[in-house]
This record gives sequence, structure tokens and C-alpha cells, in this order.
Amino acid sequence: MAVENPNTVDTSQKIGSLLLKNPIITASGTFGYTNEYEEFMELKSIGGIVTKGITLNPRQGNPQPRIKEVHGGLINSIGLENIGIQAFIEKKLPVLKENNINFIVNIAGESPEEYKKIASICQENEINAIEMNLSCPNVDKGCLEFGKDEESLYKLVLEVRKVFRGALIVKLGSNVSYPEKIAIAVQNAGADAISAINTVKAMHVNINKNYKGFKFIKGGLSGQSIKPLALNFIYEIKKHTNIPIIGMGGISNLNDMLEFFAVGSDAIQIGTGTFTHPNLSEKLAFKLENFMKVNGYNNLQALIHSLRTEDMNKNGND
Amino acid sequence: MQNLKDQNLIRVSKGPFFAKVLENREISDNIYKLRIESEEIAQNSLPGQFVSIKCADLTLRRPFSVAGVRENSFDLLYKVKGTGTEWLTNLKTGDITDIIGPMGNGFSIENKKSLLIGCGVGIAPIDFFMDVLSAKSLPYKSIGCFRSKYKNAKEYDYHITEDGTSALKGKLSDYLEQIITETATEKIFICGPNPAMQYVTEYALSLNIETEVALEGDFACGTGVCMGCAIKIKKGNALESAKICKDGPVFKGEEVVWR
Repeated sequence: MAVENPNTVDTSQKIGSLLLKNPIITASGTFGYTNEYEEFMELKSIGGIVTKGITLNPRQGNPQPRIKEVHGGLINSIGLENIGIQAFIEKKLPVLKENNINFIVNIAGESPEEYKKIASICQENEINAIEMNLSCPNVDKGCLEFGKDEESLYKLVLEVRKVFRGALIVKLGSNVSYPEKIAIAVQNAGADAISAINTVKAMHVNINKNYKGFKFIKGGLSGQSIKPLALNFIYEIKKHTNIPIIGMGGISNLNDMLEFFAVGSDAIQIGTGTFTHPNLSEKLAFKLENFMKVNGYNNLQALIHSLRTEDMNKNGND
Repeated sequence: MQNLKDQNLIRVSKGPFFAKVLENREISDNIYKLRIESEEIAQNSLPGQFVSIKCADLTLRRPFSVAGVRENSFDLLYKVKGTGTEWLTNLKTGDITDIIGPMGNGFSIENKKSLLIGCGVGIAPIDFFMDVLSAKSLPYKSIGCFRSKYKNAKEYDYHITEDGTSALKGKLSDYLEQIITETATEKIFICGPNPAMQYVTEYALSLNIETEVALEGDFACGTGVCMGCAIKIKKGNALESAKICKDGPVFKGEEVVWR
């Protein structure tokens, strides 16, 4: 007779057809294309990785400066520099498969046709999951432009849904007026999940020493400073949707992760945190499992259910 | 300090390592030497490679060139410039640092009459390179260029200072031609501010002398994934994107597109 081992807990999670060993995924643009972080951690210890954002043609990205550290985070203006989908299929996909890495391909386009084309190529190559980047604030055309308005977003996701049969995740950002309308549109178009949030439009200013004029960098803010925005965004869209949500924005420890589960996330992504601690995602996977063991949660659903039991004292301080 | 309970998770070659500070002192004006105990980093580092240190509660690690190694420890030089390096000055012997590395690619080690040039805190990889070439009995001469006399244990063949507190007063450009002739230089290795590296690279190119330069860039990761430090380099007639942290920081001088 099978005896249940009290020392094992089930941390697995399902996002559409994508099965994750645990709900911890590394975010696009912070973990490379494949096994870049194998010198720092065991890649199989986490649920999966999201690749750098990939476009139909290779992109050069934005001019320097591209990075500015600010209090509690960093502003980036990379502008989607990437090798393009063909080079990805030829050079990176075999490495992902060889290393048995669970991965999600992040895709970005300048037009609806481009999204559809990249998604078709992903389908032809039997890629299991894609994340549509509809919220990058750093490019002139595409991305955020489509993610702002619910009608164009609905059409776009619907078109991609027609050509891609794997897990379809749509990445949204907080740079919109009505998060719930956008989220409903994504759900109605047949997406399997929403991931949120992308970086937040931001600016760093440096006044010249003689007080005449200033220098600046504009881009997307990420890191611990955006966590409250991310939690609120997810809490609001959760009220109006029932597809899984992959939450992210400044997660740097176990408690942050639990907060994201509490407001409605089913899985989480680690982005900027990897820059601070290259093995943060692995550490969190270990800590989550340990937390569940110590506190008697046999599976992730039980933990999430418990966290979402709302405390009536909503506005209470710690 | 970082949470040391997580140490049991460390099992890979580039860290994070939780390593002990052996020494941390100001050796010259506003330039500090930090000696850290780590056999892994000491044994695996090459001149030109760097390590990244977690400083205070800053989001981004701070990168520093390895300035020398012994069996189980290594040195860094840092100039106090901002929050991160100011925090570093408070480290005391016995404190634990959270460090990753070595990262990037180092200088080529060749049997050529080499001229090693370090300007300001850019002397760090040059100090290390001098040790490595000496140990291999490879021929080289060294130049150290500073604003004011640099008080380090190392002797440079040519110690140039702007204020004339060393033997040679002036700028690198005042002496370069003479030194290259004197030493019959076949290859130049330099680390310093971009204008100095550009000047040396272009001058050397006019004499058909090869150069390698160690660049500095702003990046978030140090692993090549954030693309923050992407630059263009010349490969034949084409321009290619390269990441300073991953593909460099050492590049062939003639490949760099100076801005």
C-alpha cells in the first residue's frame, strides 16, 4: 500500500497546458535565451524560464545609455535588442531542448501580422508556451500600443490564438487607464493566462552642476519600488477574470511571493531580483517548498486558497 | 550582510560566494585596496576579468576588476564614487561579502614585447597582468598614469603624473611615442578612461601595433542577459553587437567603435 511521504509537498502548477514543477519562473529580459545562468544555479530547480523578447527580425535596440539604477530598482531602455525568431529557432531552441529546460518564448511585434507570424513559427517548431509582450514601454512601434486599447488587443490575441495551440500567455503592464477592461479582453480572446506587470514608464533626471539644464534617461522601471503597483494591478484584474495570473514586480523574498499569491497570482516571475542575486529564483523555490512543509500545506493550491481567504480588516497596517 | 543560511545552496563555479574580507584600506588618494578570501575566485581569475559585489541594499551589484591574486585570496582596487563604493569603505577585516565571479574575458597572454598601460583606477587589471606576465617570464614594460603620485607597492617602469609628483610629469601622450620606441613595443594592453584608450588605440594602429583595451560599461547583470552594456564592434566591414560584460570587457582596440 502506498504511504504518503510527509516530507514531500506538491509545488507544481499548471498554466493552460504548461506544467510547472513549481510556480517560480524567471522573467523575460533578465535570464537570457537559454542556460546563461547555469553557472549560478540549477536551472531545473525552478518552474521555467521566459526567454528574452523575440521579434520577427533581429533588432539593434536603443542607443546608450540603457540602464540607470534608481532607489529601489532600475530604469532600462534596452529597446528589445534580440537575435530574431529565425536565429532563436536555429541557435537557441536546440540548447533549451538539450538541457531539458522548461521555457516560455516571449514574443514582440511591430504589427499584428508580426505577432501572428512569430506565433506561427513557434507553433511549427512545437514550442509549448509563448508570452505575448504587449507592454514594453521602450519601443516606438508595437507592444504597448496594442496593449492599451481593449478592442485592438482583443483582435490581436484572437488572431494569435488561431495559429498557436500551446499555452498562450499575454503580458500586460500598468501603463493603461483601465486594467480590468484590458484583462477581460485578453480572457475573451482565448488566452490561457495573463502575466503582469511589465516595467513602468519612468524617468531619471540629473540636473547639471551649474543648474543650467539637465540630463535624463526615460525607460521602464523595475525592481522593488514597483511591487505595490503590481500587487494592486493584479488584485484589480483578478476581480474580473478567472484565467491564471502570473504575477511579477519587485519580488525579492518569500513573503513578496506569498503577497502575489494572496492578491490573485497562480505563479510568479523573478526579474530584476536575478540581477541582485543571480540564484534568487532557485532560492525562492527552495524556500517555498520548505515553507509548505513546515506549515503543513501538501500542495500549492492549498497554500494559495489559504492566502486568498480575505481578512476583513483590509486597511490594517502590519 | 546577506543571509548566510543560504550557503548550502551554493554549488556552482561563479557564486554567489560569501567571502571574508582580509584587508580594506585607502592606499592612495580616494583609492582603496580590498583583499578578499576566496580560493575559487583566486584560482580562476585572469587579468581583465571582474567580480561583482552586493553593496548595501542596492539593486545592482558593483563590478570591479581583479587587481591581483594569491593562492586563496584576491585583491580589488576601488575609487570611492558613489553609494556602493562608499559602503565598501566601511567593510572591516572579518566581514563577509556576497560576491560573484570571475566574469567576462581577460587579456591575451602572449610572448610579445608588451606595453601595459593603466590610467587612474584602471591600473587594477594592469597590476594583476604584470604579476601574471612576470610569473611566466614574458617580456613587458608598464606605464602607470595618474593625477598625482600613486602610492602602491608596485613599481611601474614609467610613472607619469599630471602634477609632477613622480619622475615623469605630464600626460600619457607626452611620453607614448618615446616609450614605444624605447621598448620596441609589439603589443599594447590598456585600461583607463575611454579618451585615453581611444588615443592609444588610434596611435598604435598608425604604427601597426596591436592593442587590447579593457572597457567599462553600465550593466545590470554582468552575464550578458540585460543588454545594458551593448556596444557595436567592427568585425571586418560589418558592425556587430557585443556586450561589454560578457563578450569583453577586453576587446581588440581596432574593433571598438569609439563614441
